[in-house]
Amino acid sequence: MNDWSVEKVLALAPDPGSASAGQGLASLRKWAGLGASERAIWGLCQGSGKDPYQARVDLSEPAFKCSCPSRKFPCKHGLGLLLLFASERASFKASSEPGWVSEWLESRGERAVKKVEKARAAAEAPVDIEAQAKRAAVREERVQRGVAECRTWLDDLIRRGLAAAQSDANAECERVAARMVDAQAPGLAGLVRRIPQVMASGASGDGWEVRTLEVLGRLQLLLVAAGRVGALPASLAGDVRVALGYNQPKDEVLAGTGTIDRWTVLGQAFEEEDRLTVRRTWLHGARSNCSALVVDFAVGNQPMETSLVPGMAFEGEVVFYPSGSPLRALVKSRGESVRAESPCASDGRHTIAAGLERFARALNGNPWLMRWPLVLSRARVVRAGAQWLIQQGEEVLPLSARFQRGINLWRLLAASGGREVTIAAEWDGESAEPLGVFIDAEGASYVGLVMRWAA
Amino acid sequence: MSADVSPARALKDLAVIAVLGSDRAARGGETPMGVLVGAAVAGARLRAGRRCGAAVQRIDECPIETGVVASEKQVATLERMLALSDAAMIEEWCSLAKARGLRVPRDVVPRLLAWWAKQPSRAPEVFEATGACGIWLAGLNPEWRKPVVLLEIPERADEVWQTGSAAERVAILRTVRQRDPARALEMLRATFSVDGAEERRKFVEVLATGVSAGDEPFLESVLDDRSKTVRREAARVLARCAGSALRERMRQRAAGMIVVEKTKGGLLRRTKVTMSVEPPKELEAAWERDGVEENAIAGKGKRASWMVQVLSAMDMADLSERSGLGPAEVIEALRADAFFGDVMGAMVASVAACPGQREAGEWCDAIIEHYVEHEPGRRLDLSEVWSSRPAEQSEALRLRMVSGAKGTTGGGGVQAWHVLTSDARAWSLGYSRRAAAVLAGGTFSKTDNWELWAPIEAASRLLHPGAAEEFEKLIGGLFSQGASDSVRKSLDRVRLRADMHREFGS
Repeated sequence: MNDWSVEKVLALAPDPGSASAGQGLASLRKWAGLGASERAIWGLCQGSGKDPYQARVDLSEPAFKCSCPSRKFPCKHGLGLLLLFASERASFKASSEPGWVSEWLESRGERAVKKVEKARAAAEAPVDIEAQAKRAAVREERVQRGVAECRTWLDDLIRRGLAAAQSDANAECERVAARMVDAQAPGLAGLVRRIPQVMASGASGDGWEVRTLEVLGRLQLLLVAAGRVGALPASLAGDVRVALGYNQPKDEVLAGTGTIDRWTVLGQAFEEEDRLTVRRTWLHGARSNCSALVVDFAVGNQPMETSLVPGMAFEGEVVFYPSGSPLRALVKSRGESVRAESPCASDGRHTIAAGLERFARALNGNPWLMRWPLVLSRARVVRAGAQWLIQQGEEVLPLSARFQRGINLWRLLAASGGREVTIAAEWDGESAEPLGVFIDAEGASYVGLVMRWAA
Repeated sequence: MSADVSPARALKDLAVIAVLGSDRAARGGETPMGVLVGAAVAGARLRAGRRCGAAVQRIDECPIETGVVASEKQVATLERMLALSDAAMIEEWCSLAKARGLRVPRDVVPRLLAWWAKQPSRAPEVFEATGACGIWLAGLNPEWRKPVVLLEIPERADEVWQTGSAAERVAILRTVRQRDPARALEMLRATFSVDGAEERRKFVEVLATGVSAGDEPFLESVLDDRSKTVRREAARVLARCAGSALRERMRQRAAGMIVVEKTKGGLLRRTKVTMSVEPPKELEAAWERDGVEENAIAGKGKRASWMVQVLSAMDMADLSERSGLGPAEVIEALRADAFFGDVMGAMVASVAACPGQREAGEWCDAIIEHYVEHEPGRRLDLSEVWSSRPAEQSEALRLRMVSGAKGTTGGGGVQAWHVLTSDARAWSLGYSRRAAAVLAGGTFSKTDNWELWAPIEAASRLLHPGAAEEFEKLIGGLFSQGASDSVRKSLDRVRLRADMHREFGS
């Protein structure tokens, strides 16, 4: 992967502070012993310690390694090194890898091999099927008890009335959510926890009571479905289980057959809740016209996979989690990343109408789907009073309130200059949150609008 | 639920029941289960079918840019500065860009504008660096709209003056005064009798910049203002005004305090001049009108205090004229006097209060020369002496001040750092090199010295970029065992500025 721009490197930063710090280190004066081979770059950076830090980047992924004690990943040294590589290419002399670089690269290779071996060994190892089945049955029973309890609570809530419940909604929902955690149904707990927020939101659109009832209706749908999950078709049953909070092991998913296509990374969004960070990476397949969502989690400063860079594209195989409306996916194998062209061919399928139609179909398959990606070609940013919208032809989509509050609204406007561009956005059924802009006029450039939403 | 009721309508109807509680809802008959299932269906239909129809306004397209985009390296440097939110450096970058007809790339414009809008200074060159895109975006974002910059008088100047807040009125007065001093005075006079005392004081303070004979009649009238703080401010501003009637009155009073005697004697019948200091015995009422406080300045007697206040508002050149001696000789002639210290303090105050007075440059030279020669060990803040002079003379004065290798002022001690950095104007290359050479002579016992943090930071902002290497060597030599964060930041700042100037080829 040789096509590094400052922006693409910054997109890898775990937080804005690291991005700034990395930029501070993107200066030749900070570095000694810069070098590059076909697969990696490296350099020494003097920090506050006695010995300079050894920073190295495996360019194929990219992957980072540094001898500094930082818990951020990638650390500022790794980012600074890659930023420097993006801007001062010539200063990285092609040379043979020093020991501390080649050893790391080799150990990475070995680890990858070992991982495969371990997976194979695990697959071949005799599984205590009986114990596994017993554990599963215990959980199943707990979840069903939790579902029943939640139904009773919800029933009671409607009986008493939302107005009466509003005052102590926080404590009440927290109590019920805790019960759902005990019942091993974290998905339910999450849904219940969100209720007080909706009840308190009266500002935009419909009144709070309509929005609250809509959320409760969706919860009710899940509870009813959960009660007869055994009778549902397999794919819908899978979606119910995911919504309840069952995890499907990655290995199982990866064992399936995927879709081979040219995948464009449309953009990323981060949601931060307490110490948990959830990252959504949206992909779009050029030939299949499929959308895929890769979700990553990190606790605290845990590293996130950094190989999917917004604005880049790769040939590869993407496997979907089983679902009534396959969307969430994993990348099974991938070729080299190159700068993406605008994902819109001029065949008219990237309209607001087509996107919403697809979303409606997807909801039909999986009514608990929260977000859907839209790729809108020849779209403009317009406004109606204080509300900003995306306009395409005669149709418009409102931008979410939280997006309008941030700097990225202005970056979106600056990138488009009020002209027609291709906009990739998340749609939640109510408002859009742009992820990135493809500007066709200026040699297919891409501007990523990476959002970091705090709960 | 029948399909021909719109899901939004259906959800609204159910919400009415849900709010009251299905037990109490008048409609009755609906079970909680019925409400929830109905909501589930309506909700799903609503989400799946949501369309938005709004009467939208197209926004104008951004005009074609005329400037050239700054290079990737230049922009990366700017981004590093934005990450540090370092106003002085960002403004310097934008000035350099402006001088070369360069603009920032569009993707950086919002961040630069958002930062700029939060700055109290809102430097116009920063806004200009954002090009057509910046003007276009600012037109869409009320928070970024171009505020009243001190370049032109806005149309609604009078309205702001009549109805604005105190801060807005001060700002508009400054703007108008720069472009049209007569109009500013007119505005002042129109509302002065009804403005509050603190506002009046602030308005008078505005006149201090660029005060001239034209302002005198107004300021003289303010000497009789009903508020003492306003009277004092007017006296202070008139004392700044070279050739004002107030200064003339002070000159006459001073003549009685520094007495010149000429006697002819010796073989060659040369004229011998002696000077003596005679502080006033009492405070005259007219002096108070001109701003002389009756209460003694801390650490002085009343008589000395009155004298210092009078001398501070006179032209030093008057002493040369009356004695026929040059500035250095006047100081020499007074040196043995018991009140010499007070007189020197008054001279420092005088050149600072009215930098436009006759022979001010010569007097500053002589004052500094005296301290270097005769009082090298004293820790004095003389920054107002050189800060009042043109940059070139200020640099010479500061270098002279630290040239005496004796005592705390000389060499590279803490005091030398303070002296060399105590003027807010950018350093010339020659000065930067010589300052670095002087400071390199300093030795500090500890690995770091917090007293140096502030002057090192100041130096990092003022240093000529061409002397960055000397500065780095200097810091490296001083703190070979590791520098504090503050010092390292200063070092980074110097490097960043050097990078910037190299990238701009300046």
